[in-house]
Amino acid sequence: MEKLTFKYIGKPIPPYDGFYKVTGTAEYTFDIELPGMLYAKLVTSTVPHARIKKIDFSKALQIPGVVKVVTGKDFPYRVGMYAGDRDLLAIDKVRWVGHPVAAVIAESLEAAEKAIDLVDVEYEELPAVFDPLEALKPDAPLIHEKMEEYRHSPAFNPIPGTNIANKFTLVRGDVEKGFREADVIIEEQFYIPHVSHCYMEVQNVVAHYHLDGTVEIWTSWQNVAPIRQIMALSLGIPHNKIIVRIPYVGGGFGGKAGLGWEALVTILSKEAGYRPVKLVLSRKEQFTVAAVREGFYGFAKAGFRKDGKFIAYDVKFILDAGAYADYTVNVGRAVGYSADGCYEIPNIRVESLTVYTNKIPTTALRGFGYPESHWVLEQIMDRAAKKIGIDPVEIRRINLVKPGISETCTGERLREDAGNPEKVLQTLLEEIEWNTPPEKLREPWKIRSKGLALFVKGPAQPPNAAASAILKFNEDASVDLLIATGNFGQGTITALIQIVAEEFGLPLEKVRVDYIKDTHKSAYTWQTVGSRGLFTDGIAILKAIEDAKRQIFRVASEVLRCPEDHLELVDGEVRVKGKPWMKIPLQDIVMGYTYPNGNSIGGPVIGRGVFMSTHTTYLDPETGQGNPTIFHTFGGAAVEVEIDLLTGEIKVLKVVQALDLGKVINPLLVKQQMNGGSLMGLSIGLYEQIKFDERGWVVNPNFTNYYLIRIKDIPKEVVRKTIETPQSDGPYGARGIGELTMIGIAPAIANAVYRATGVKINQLPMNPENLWKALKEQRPDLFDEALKKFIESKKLAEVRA
Amino acid sequence: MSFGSPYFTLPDFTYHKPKTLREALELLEKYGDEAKILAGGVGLIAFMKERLVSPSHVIDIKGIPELKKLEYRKGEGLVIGATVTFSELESYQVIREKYRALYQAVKLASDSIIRNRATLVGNICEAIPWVDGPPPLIAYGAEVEIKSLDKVRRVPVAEFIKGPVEIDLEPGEIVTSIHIPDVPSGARSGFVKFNVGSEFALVNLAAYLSLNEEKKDVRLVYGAISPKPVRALEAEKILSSEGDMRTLIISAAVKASEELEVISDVLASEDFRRHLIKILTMNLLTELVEGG
Amino acid sequence: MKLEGKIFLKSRREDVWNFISEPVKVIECIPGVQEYSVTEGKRVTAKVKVSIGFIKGIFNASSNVIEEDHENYFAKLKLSGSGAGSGFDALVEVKLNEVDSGTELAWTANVNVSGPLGSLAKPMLEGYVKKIVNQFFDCIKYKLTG
Ligand SMILES: Cc1cc2nc3c(=O)[nH]c(=O)nc-3n(C[C@H](O)[C@H](O)[C@H](O)COP(=O)(O)OP(=O)(O)OC[C@H]3O[C@@H](n4cnc5c(N)ncnc54)[C@H](O)[C@@H]3O)c2cc1C
Repeated sequence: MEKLTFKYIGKPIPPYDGFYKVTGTAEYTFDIELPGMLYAKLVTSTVPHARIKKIDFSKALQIPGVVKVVTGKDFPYRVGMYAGDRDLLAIDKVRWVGHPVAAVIAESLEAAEKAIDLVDVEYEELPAVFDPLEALKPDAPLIHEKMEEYRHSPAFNPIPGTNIANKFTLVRGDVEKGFREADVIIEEQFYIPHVSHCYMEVQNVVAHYHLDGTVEIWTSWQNVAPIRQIMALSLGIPHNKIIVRIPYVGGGFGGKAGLGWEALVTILSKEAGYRPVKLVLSRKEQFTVAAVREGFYGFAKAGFRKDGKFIAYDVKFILDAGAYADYTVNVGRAVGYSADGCYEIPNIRVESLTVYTNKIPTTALRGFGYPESHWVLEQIMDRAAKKIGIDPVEIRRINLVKPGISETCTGERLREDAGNPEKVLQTLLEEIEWNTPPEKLREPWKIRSKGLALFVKGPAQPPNAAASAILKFNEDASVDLLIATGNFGQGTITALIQIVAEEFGLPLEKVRVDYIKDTHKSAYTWQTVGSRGLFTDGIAILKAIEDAKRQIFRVASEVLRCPEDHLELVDGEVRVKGKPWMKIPLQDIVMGYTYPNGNSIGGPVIGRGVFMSTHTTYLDPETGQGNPTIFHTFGGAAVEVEIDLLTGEIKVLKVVQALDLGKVINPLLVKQQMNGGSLMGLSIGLYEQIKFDERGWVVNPNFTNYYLIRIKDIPKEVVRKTIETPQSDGPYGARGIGELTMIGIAPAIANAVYRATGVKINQLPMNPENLWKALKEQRPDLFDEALKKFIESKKLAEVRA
Repeated sequence: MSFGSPYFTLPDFTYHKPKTLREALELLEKYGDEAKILAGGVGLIAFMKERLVSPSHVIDIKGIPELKKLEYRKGEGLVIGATVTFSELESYQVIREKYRALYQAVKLASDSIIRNRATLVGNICEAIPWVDGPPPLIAYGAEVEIKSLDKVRRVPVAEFIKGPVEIDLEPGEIVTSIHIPDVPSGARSGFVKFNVGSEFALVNLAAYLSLNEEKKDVRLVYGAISPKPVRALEAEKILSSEGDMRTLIISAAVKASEELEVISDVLASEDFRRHLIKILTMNLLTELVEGG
Repeated sequence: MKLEGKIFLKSRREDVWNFISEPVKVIECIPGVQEYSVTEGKRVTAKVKVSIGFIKGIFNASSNVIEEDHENYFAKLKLSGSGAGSGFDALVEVKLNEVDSGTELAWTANVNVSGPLGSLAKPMLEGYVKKIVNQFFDCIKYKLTG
């Protein structure tokens, strides 16, 4: 790694799977058709909270082609990864509109879809609760009566008898004292609505329960390992009898992590007489049945000294987790311990409650609680700056963490090489031209403004989340890399291939990673989430490379009669350092070396390597203190916006994102990540919102009424900047990037609006109606003036009077 | 419009593709309530997929030559046949020159994939509140021609659309064409909509002004704000009164934002819509006044 | 959405009460009802054909008696159902008042509709519900008085 020039590392290598995708030959779960395969369709609840009195499916069974109808009573399993709260089909009770109550299995999708309409479910409705603040009240309807029986991970703290799925607390310093010393106090409430992941490929699964008890699964999911683990624990099938395969995946964004439909479809396959069964969700079901990102409240009180120092922060987060919170409890934890962002706050108290309501279940979404904590914190910074009378940049400089010196709110000392937040900030300022005032417009009811936000994020994972890699050589010294790293569009695998090719001096084509991830064949990795793939799996691969090299050098040293540490691997050859004519081609070693007389030494080379974090810990349940993460990526976003004061429209003209990635392994992929993340951040910031009616129904479960960013909305300029402060234990010094670009956009826009107008938008999305309302409430004068200017410039002044 | 469907399949139906209007009318007569006409299918297929309609017979009219008519005659006006698509209208020169409001509405509707299939007749027959076709048609005083085996009738578009998903069409009948009267020279028209962060308009508006005769003729038609498109009659009155148009615009815009019945729905609240009505009205009228 | 209305019936209050307390008699007056069953506690489940404009669908609906107060001639029902991707519930209150030469039936209904029908047809739903209610009471009138 001391190498200074690289052949592949740091080069814009195109994604290895691009060819298959653009030629349409990439195989997705949706393409899997097995002989004798049946189709499943879910019957879902039409009421938000009710006891199931009766399910009558006799008429459904009369539809030709219907094989079976099953209900939750048939298999009362409780499944999950963190909270362990989930059923496969509703048992006794439904908890949201969309809760699957029965599944029809049929010879064709047509028959299954006809049959679901003929399943009559009789409900006895129970009082429902839709708002988490209501759900916290003592007399609120209880959504999970048997919470104490759920098998939850030790990292969480559910409170049976309430609707609290997890309570996270963090205390550091003395906030009360901090507030007493504060000159300026900011108190605000924030809100973020539910949003959907909107990946192109909807969730779909094929499962085949074989007669011998082996289960084969194909699924559109991010990770193979947790599926097997969850199924083994909840269904009692031995791990080695469960084979989970993931082919190409059309996007995940966190929505395909943790628990999926695999356990259900497996059971359906068994129930249907050991025939393979396929379940495909429709887009509507993605909005009403699958899990989405939680709704979020943030109640913040922040104290600053008049010199700009942030000295006390008391914040309460309330997550609207919906009917099931299996993964969201961990979002609740992450939002809690990321409350301090990239600032040093000596006195801090955080309470983060993940709360059940009778709405759609929720899960991870790219950013995992960090967009939420930063939506609050980064706006607080600008509000405080204004109140104190200093520049938003200045207040950030004053409070910015100093790697090597500062501790985060969990009491973790930042490593010296954690990154360079100061340089991130500087880069933003240069690129957005912070000190150049924005242009004044010819339409004076429109104004331009600039805003920025900083952020930091690391993977939110259990302390023992491991990764491993196996690489084996073929006769021609090509390499098969057996890894389970999820491949759902991020490009990680391409970067991992670059590492192998670099280290062995092989052409890229000689390194192959099968597109199918397979619990049976790929080396274990905990999950590909939290921007960790390149870091954790990259380290495992580097170790595997070391291991293979050792085997290769051992043999070569005997053959070349030279100590191992005098050998090097260059261009597919083992050479004696300084004597390049003394060499053996790799292919003469990787299956064992054969002397001219036939004597052979060594043998097929197989490298193995693992990643295991040794310094991470669980967090203390009372104080939230500990080491939660394996790296921190620092970054920032700056925007220039144009605000139409008359219609409330915010047009984002320019976006700048700057990230300290340690080392850019592949600048092309980084560029694509930064473009994609910027647009997703804009879309969620400006437009997206799942809306519910008063009966808990989603009113916009489709892409005509749930607006996603379109080509016409894309800013003219998206500037991407990377900084490289290497982290010594990362692969080539690299840190993760995947989720980072999601975090800063929304607060940067809100800050730009606040800077120009003084209008606080504490609520997403920042769509025209929301801004118009805020403007009218907070700055009616500004609004009237804009209208006056509009009238003047259109020469409409009324002459009639 | 689509509401989201849990289904991938369509309900069972028999598909018919008549070659003549007569054949189509016979099928409609025969199947009555059980039949639905398929033009571009943009609306119908979505509704069927969502099981909002489940016709046992689907009658595809795209193979009927006489419904493809798109013709302008001076003095008589424009005839738009039932299978003429948005894209065909967009590239028809007369519309671009003479019927600006229609041209802009058609051009701003959705994207080219939809416009290549969607018909204007289908757009008004679908009768959902948020579409862009009806306001300009009503502003021009357009009529639909409706035929059945035994009769032909004409109904103004304004009356043809009775409410959401409700039109003045009996079983056995088909809309064959839309007739838009010729516009006098000097008349101006225009269309605007507000759809920032939305697939469909929160408010749309077509305006028609004819000023050079002794009597001012002004029409303002709003869509997406209420169950069916509506004219702002009081605002029109203000604009038709004596005086320089430019001095009347503000009071007309304010009037329009107050006089109409406006709904709240998933796209916008009543208040925001009223506000947009005011801004859009001022914008469009100023543009029209300046444009001449 | 809150709706209310009053109907005059030329029958004795007791007769009206007896009639409307009999689910089977009442159900048959529901416009579009296709099949139904009555279970314990006067719980009624029925399939009802609904058409609003050109939207047509079959609703699975049920009705539960929440309160039945003969003394005051007052009843409270909860109706709910789903179909065509939509769902609804309604809390209905009925009170019978004695008036000259007959009975006045006063009703209120608090109706909520979700799904496509809710978003699409809310503005016209009021008219639609009123139409249904009128047809329903016309039928009852007819059955009571011939
Ligand atoms: C994603 C999306 C975006 C859209 N955006 C817009 C937009 O921006 N602006 C806009 O205006 N619209 C928009 N629409 C709506 C679209 O324009 C209409 O659905 C389309 O115009 C309908 O025309 P069609 O030819 O496809 O009708 P069809 O789907 O074939 O028919 C629609 C209805 O009309 C009936 N019908 C059709 N022709 C006749 C006839 N000759 N006589 C009697 N009945 C008939 C059919 O039976 C059916 O009930 C959008 C739709 C979608 C799906």
